[in-house]
Formats: sequence, C-alpha cells, structure tokens
Amino acid sequence: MARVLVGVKRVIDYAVKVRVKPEKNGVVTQGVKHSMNPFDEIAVEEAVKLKEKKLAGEIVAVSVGPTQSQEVIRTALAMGADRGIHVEVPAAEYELLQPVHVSKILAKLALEEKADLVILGKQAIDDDANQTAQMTAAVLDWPQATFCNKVEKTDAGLTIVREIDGGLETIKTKTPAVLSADLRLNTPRYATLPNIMKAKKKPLKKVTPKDLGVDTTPRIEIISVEDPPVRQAGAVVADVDALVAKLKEGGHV
Amino acid sequence: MQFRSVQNLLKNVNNCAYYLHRNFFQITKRDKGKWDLINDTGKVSVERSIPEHIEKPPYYFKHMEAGNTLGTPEIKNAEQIKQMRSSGKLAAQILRECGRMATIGTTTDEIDEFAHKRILAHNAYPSPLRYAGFPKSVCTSINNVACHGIPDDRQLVDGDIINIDVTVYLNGCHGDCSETFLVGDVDERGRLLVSATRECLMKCIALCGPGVAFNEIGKCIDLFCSEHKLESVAAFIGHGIGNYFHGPPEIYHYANDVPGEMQSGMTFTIEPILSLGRGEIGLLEDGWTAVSLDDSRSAQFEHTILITENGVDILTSAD
Repeated sequence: MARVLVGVKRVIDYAVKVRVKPEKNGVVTQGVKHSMNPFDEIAVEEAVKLKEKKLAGEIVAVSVGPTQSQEVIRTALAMGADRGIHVEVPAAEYELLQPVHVSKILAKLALEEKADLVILGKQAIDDDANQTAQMTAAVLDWPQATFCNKVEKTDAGLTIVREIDGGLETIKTKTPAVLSADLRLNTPRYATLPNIMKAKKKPLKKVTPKDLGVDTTPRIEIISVEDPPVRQAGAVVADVDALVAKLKEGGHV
Repeated sequence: MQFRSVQNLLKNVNNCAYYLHRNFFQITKRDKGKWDLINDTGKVSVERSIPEHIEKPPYYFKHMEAGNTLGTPEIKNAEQIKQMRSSGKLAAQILRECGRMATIGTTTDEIDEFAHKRILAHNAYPSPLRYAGFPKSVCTSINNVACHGIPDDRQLVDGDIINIDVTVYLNGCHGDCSETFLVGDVDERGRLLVSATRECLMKCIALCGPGVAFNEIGKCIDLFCSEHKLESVAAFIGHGIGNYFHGPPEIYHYANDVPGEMQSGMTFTIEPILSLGRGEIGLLEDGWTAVSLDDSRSAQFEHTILITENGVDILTSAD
C-alpha cells in the first residue's frame, strides 16, 4: 500500500505580531510562539484521511530545521502520522536555507523511503515562497499537482481538482507524484491528549543533509530586513473635480 | 484568511519556562478580565492513605498508563448499569459538597483532604489517586488552568473560578463529574464563561440518544462556541467509563467526522472545556497541570451519562 511522505515546517504562529530585530538582519524568533505551517497541517490531514480510507499504508512526517523542528513532527505524529524524520540543520544555516535545498532533501528522502506520494503545504507563511513542492517534483522528475482542492484515488492514479486563478481545474495523474495542499482541501483535526501521548512513542529518526548527500551551502545573503514604510495619511477631497485636479497634479492622469 | 491551528503540542519539562512570563508568546491577549494568573504548582502535600477495607482499582498496586480509549464501546447490562448509577450518584454528591468548600481563603489541598475523607466514608476510592501517577484525590483547576490541576497550598482568592473534578470508584465502578464554581466576586467575563460552559454541556447531553452519531456532540460544541465567541479546548476528550476510568468511545469536543454511534447501554462522559482565549494548552513541569498558552481562563463541566432505549440519563446529576 502507498507510503506517503509529508513535509512539515515550523514557522512563527500566524497570530503573533512579527517584529524586526533591532540589528535589521531578521525577525525576532527567540521566545516567540511557533506552530506547524497551516498549509502543512492540511497536508498532514490529507495524508491521514488517505490512511483512514485505506488508500495509504504509512505516513512519514519530515521536517528540516534546528532541534525545535521536532515539535512540529510530534504534532504530525499526534495527528496520525506513523513515524517522523528530522533533518537537522543548525539555526544559523537554517536562516539561509531555501526551497532549492529543501526540495533536494525531500526528493532524496522520497526515494530512500520509497514514497508513492509526497504531500506538502502549498507555501510557508513565513517566506510565502510556494516553490518547494514544484522543485521537489522537478528533482524527482515526478508529476506535480499543486494547489490541491480535492484528491481522489482512481484505478489509474489520482484525479485532482486544483485551485487556479480562473477557478478550478481537474487533472489526472499517475503516481508517484508530488502534491501541494491548498486551503480548502480539508479541515485539519486537533491533536487530542490520548493521541499526543501515543505520539511520544512513535519513532523519530534524526539525519543531517550531509547524510543525504545534499549540499546546503547558502546561495543567498541577507542584506537587510526592515519594517514596511509607515503608511502616509491620505487626503480627503471635496468633490470629483477636485479629485481629478489632484490626480492631474500628481501626474497620474 | 481563517486557519484552524492544531493544538500546540503539550510542551513538557524543558520548555515550561515559557509559562513563567506573562504573555511570553506575544499572542494578542483575548481574556482581558481581572483575575489571578496561575503560574506554577504550589506545595503538594504527601499522599493520603487508603484504609485496608476499601476496594482499590488495579492501578493502585502497580503504575499503569492512562486507559486506552480506542475500540468498541462497552454495552452494559442491567447489573452494571445499577452499579454505574450508585457510583455516579456518589460522585455527584461529593462534588456538590466540595463546591461548598470553594470559598475565599480555602486551599485546594483542603478541598482535596475533604473530598478524600468523604469518599472513604462512603466506602469508595477516589479514582484520580495514583491513576497514571496522579498524586491527589481530585483535580482542582483554577482560572487559566484548563484541567488536571493538582491540589496544593494555594488559597482561593476573590474572583477565582475553580473546576473541581471528582471521580469515585465504588463496587468496582467509576463515576466521573466536574463543575466550575465561582469564588467570591467574579468579573463579568468569568461569570459568562462559566454559565455558557454549563449550558454547552447540557445542550450536548440533550441531543444524545440511541443511534445518534458521537460527532454530533463535537458539532454542537463548535456551533455553541461560535455563537458565544468562545473556543473549545480541543486537546481533551470525553471518554467511556465503567470498571475502567477511561475507555472507548472517544468524545471529541470539536467538529469532526469520526464515525461511531451511541447505543443503548453505553456510558461515557462529556466534558467540554471552553476558553476565553485560543484554547491552546501546554503542560507545567509537574506533567499534569494544563494551562492556556495565551493566559486566558477556561471553565469545564462534566457529567457521566447513560444512553437508554429512548434517550439519555445523567448518572451524575445533582438532585
């Protein structure tokens, strides 16, 4: 039966007010609440649903990052994943880690673990990159179905409904394949106390990118991180003529 | 964009330093009422003794893990139901008596001592004691403690809301109930929270009956919460109960599509915890006390119920 690899990323919780560090080289993460990337929760939920429908046999949750990334793996285990793999990257290196590196790591693991399906969240809420699923598919030379709204198994493979700019698109693909989960794919379940306790016993393997033969040398350099400019107050005009005059003045018309 | 974030995993020992600072996580505070924040467990007294003649559950003699709540729920026969009724009745009675002790200046340890003595006086065993290593005879959860609070030397102060969870083991049967009590003058938000939580539980019980899906309870709680602008603390579940403290079925307090239907003869608890904040919890160093991560209060009410041929019976009703 199918083995599903799910990628989960530890990000700053969506409800936190993100602050730029005074040194302007990043945002404050120390002591700030982190959670699993919401789209990754949806990815895990989809994998668990496949397992409940007996369409998948084993779910492996993977996270790339520093030690704390294990927290989100445990959350995935509590939601129903069977085992976890933590690819450890030290904090300093993690700052500069990009989808191009992560996709190679996930691809290597997908092959090693003989996965039939890789399900990722469509994008992370910290970088909004929306690249990892696509790049992973490219490295593996597997078909990709991104922005999944619905996933159905057929005899031939999968029938997937995707969210695109114009509406919904239905595609068919064979497996193995890489999927990326979009918002409306499902509603993730909460981890209940009994499941959290059970998750503590599920195996969590630790590896490094080096073990997988992936080079994580940074390709970028962070020059500066700044707050967006303070919004200027608008001006209220008396009537349409005044508005047109102001637009002409400003060279917009 | 609306996300439903998964309950933050219970952090343990190493990470609990987070809780010692107010709103250390910098999440927008939702519960802006005036009340005393519980930061840590106080001094827990030594284990209270159980006399020889009291029938003790298996976990008294050997450390066991919490019961397995997966599997097919037990259908009880008339004899078992009779036993369940007496355990439930006793639990309800002890809970009511404990409620009278929830006054300013009383410590939760004193409430525990009182409950312990009263349960023994009825020739029953206080189920929480030694269950999965729990050190006391009742759970006392104040303000921002969601549940499983350990009785200690802290005195109740004016404005506290305290949940007392009583479970008794009588004639080989457990009966489980809890109620949140107001101590002194509680602020408006606190009072609304408590009355809403009580109402929520009663609504859930009212919909139970043979053939009703278990997940109707979760749906009901979700709907109730969105109407009252509260959140359900999803990590904790209701559970089957009988000769065992916790068993199948699992009752989720949030909307879900887990299959399963109630049948006549089943006994289980419904125990929603409603929160003024986001409903996410973490564990203190003691490994038991569940506190909210955003410094918000929660209230809980619990009953053990029996599904009958034509409806539902509350085994732990206080009449």
